[in-house]
Amino acid sequence: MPAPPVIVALELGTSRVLALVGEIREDGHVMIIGIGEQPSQGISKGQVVDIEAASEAVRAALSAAEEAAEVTIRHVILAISGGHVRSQVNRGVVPVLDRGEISRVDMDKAMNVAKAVNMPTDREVLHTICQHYCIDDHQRVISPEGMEGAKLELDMLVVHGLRAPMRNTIKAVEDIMIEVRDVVYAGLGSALSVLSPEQKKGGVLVIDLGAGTTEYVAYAGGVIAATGAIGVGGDHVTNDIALAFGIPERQAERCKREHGGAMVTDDSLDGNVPIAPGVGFGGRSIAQHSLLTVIHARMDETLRMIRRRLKEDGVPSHLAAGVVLVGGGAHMAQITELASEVFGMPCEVGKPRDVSGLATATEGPEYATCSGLIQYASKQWQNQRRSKPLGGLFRGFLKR
Amino acid sequence: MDSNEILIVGVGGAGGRLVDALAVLAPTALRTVMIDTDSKALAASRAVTKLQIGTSVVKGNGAGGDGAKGRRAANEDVEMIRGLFVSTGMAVVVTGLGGGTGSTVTTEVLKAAGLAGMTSLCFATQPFGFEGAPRTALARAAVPEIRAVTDGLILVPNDKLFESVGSDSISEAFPKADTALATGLLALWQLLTRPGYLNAGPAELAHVTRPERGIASLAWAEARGRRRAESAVKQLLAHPMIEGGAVLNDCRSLLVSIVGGEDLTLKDLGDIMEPIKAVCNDEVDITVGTSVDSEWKSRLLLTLIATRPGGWSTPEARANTLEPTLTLPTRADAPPPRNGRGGVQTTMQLEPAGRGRFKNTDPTLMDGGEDLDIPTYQRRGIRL
Repeated sequence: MPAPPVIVALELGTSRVLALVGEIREDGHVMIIGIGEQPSQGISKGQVVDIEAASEAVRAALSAAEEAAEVTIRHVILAISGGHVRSQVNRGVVPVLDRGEISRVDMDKAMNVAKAVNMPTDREVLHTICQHYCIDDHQRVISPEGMEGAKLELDMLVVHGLRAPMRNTIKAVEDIMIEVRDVVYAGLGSALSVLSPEQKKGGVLVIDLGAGTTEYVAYAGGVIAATGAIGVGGDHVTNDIALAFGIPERQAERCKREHGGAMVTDDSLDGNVPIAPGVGFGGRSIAQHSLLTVIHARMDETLRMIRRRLKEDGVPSHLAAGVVLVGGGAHMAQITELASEVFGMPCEVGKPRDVSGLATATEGPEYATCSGLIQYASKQWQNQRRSKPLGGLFRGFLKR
Repeated sequence: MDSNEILIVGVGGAGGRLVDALAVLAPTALRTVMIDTDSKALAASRAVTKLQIGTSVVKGNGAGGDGAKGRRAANEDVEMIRGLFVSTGMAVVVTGLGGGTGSTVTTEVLKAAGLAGMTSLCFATQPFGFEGAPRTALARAAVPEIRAVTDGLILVPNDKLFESVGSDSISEAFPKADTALATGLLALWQLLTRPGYLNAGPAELAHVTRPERGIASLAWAEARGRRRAESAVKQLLAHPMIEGGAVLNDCRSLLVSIVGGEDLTLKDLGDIMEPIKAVCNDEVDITVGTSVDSEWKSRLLLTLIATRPGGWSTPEARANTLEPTLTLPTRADAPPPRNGRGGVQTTMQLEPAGRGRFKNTDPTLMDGGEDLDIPTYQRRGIRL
C-alpha cells in the first residue's frame, strides 16, 4: 500500500506560511508531530504576487516543520484560498437504465453529467461535491443504489476559482521541488476540521477570518449548500486603522491585536489607547471609541456581505448549529457577538477536532485549515486502504 | 434651529444659480456663500459671501468642464474654503455635477464643513442625458467621493427636473427649473428653521439621508384651497423624481416635511401620510416634520426626501425619459467653453483615495463595484 503514514498540509496564507505534519495512527486518528511557521512574503490578499519570494517562505516553513517532526518532506497537500473562489449548484439528470433499479452505473452517469459545468475559460473547477440525489423529482436520498425509479438526479456543488492565481500558488511550491499531491479549498479544510457530525447535520456556517481573505462554508440539510470567499481580511482592518489615525502599519497591527474589538462598547467612550513610538513615528494616543468604530464598520460590512451571498445562494437564514468562526480573526474581541448579531444565530470560535499532538496546533482557530487538510488526506487514505471507491466527497483538480 | 446656523453654499455655475434663485424666494436673508472659479459668475451672484478659487489655475475663467482643473483650484485654495466654516450648525451645499468645478470642488467644501463640525447636506443636479458620456462620467465619479464626506447626498437628475417644469422653451425652462429646485430647498430650510409640532431638525434629516442608506431623491408639491391636502399629495406622488412610486417602493428611509398655516389640521396630516404610506414598502423608516407659519395660511407645501440604496440612477433609464422637445441649451453659460480642446474632456485623475497598503494592488471590488480596499468607515461616511 503506497499510502503515506505522514501527511504534510501547507497553507500559503497572506500573513504567514504554515506547514503541519500529521501522522495517521492505526485507528485512523491524526497526530500532529511537527509545525513550521514563517511570516509570508510575496503574498497579498491570499494570492501569490511574487513566486520567488513566496517560494522562499515556503522553503523556510517546510524546513522548520521537517526539523520539528524529524521527517523529510517531499510532497504536500496544499490549501487554496483567494477572494475569487465561488460555488454553484449543478444538476445532473439521467434516465435509469436497468428496469428501474438504480445501479452504480446510473449514479456514476449522473455524477459525470452534474460535474460537466460550463466555466469561463479563466476559471477552473477546484472541487465537485455531491449534495444529494433525487429520484423522480420527489425523494431526497443520499445513497440511491438499489432503489426504484425512472429518473435519477444529482445536485452537485461545484467549487471553482480563477486559474492563474491557483496555478501560481501551486507553482510557488513546485518550484522548490516539492510535489503537490492534492489541493483543497481552504474554507472546506477549515469546515472539515472544526465541525462535528451533529453540527453538519443541523446546519452551520463556518467563517474563516484570514489576513487576506474571508472564506465561508454553509452546511444546510446535511450537505454543503454553498461556499465562497470575499477578498477582504484582517489586513484590511489594519490598513483601515493605519489610514484613519495616520499611524504606521506595524503600530496599527499591534493596536488592532491589543486594543481592537468588533463592537463599539459603551465603556470605550472616554478611553484612550496608547500607540507606541516606532521608526520615524513619535507615538501618540487615539480614542478607543474611534478605533472600535473603524474596526466595527469593516467587520460588520464583511459579515453582511457573506450574509447577502448566502441569501443569493438560497441558504436558509437560520441554521441550527449557528456560526463557527476560525482563522486568526476569530481571536478578535467581541467578534462572536458581532457575528451573532449580524446572522441572528449563536456564534462560537471553532477549534480543530479529532487531532492530538502539539498543543498550539490543536488549540488555535488559525490552525483549522491545515488540520482539516490532514484529516481530508487521512480520510482519503483510509478509503483507499479499504479499497472502497472514492466517495466523491472532494475531488481535487489535480487528480482529474 | 436658528436660521443663522444654516449656511447655504453654492459651488460652481449651477450651484450659484440655485443660490440666486433661493435668495429671490426666501422670506428673510439667508446666509449664502458662492464658491466658483469664474469671476464673472461671482460678480453677478446675489450671495452674501463670494469666494473665488483657483485664480492661478484658470485665471478667473470657468473650469471648462475639466475636472483636473477644478481639483487643482480646490487644492490651491483649500485654506480659504476651510475659513468659511467656523461655526457649528448645518451646511447645505448645492452644486451641479458634470462640470469642472461642481464635480470636484464640492468634495473639498464638504470636507471643510465636516472638519468644522457642521452637519452637511449636499444637493447635486446630475447632467442631462444629452450632455454626453464625459460629463456623465465626471458626475458619476464624483458621487462616491461626495458620499464619503457628507451626511447626506440628494441627487436631482436634470432630465427629471426639467420634466417636472414642463416648459418647452429653453429660455424659460432653465430659470423655471432653478426656481423649482429652490422651492424644494426652501421647504427644507423652512422645516429646519420654523418651529413645528412634529420636529425634524438637522439630526433627523441626517438620519434619513445617512450615506450608508444610499442616495436621496427630493420631490415637492404645493397646493392651495379647500382640498389642498388631497391635491398636494396627489401632485407629490406624480412628481417625476418619484419615478411613478418606484423611489418610495425601494427606499429605506423617508422624510416628509409639511409646511402649512395655523389652519393645518391633524386630519390633513392623515390625508397626506396615508397615500404616501400606501406606496412605500413595509420596512421604510418614516420621519414626519411639520412647520406652521402664518404666511402659509390656506396653503400647503410638501417636501419629500427618500433615501434608497444604489450608487446612481441609471443614465440609460434617464435618457429614455428625456423631454423630446428639449434641444441643446443655447444659454451662454451652459455648456461651458471647452478651451479649444475640441470638445474632448480630459480624464479626471482619480486619486487612489485611502487605499494605503493596497495602493499598488488590483482593487477588490464588491459585486456592486464598490472598492473594498478603501476603509469601510470612509465609504460609509462615518465620522470618527
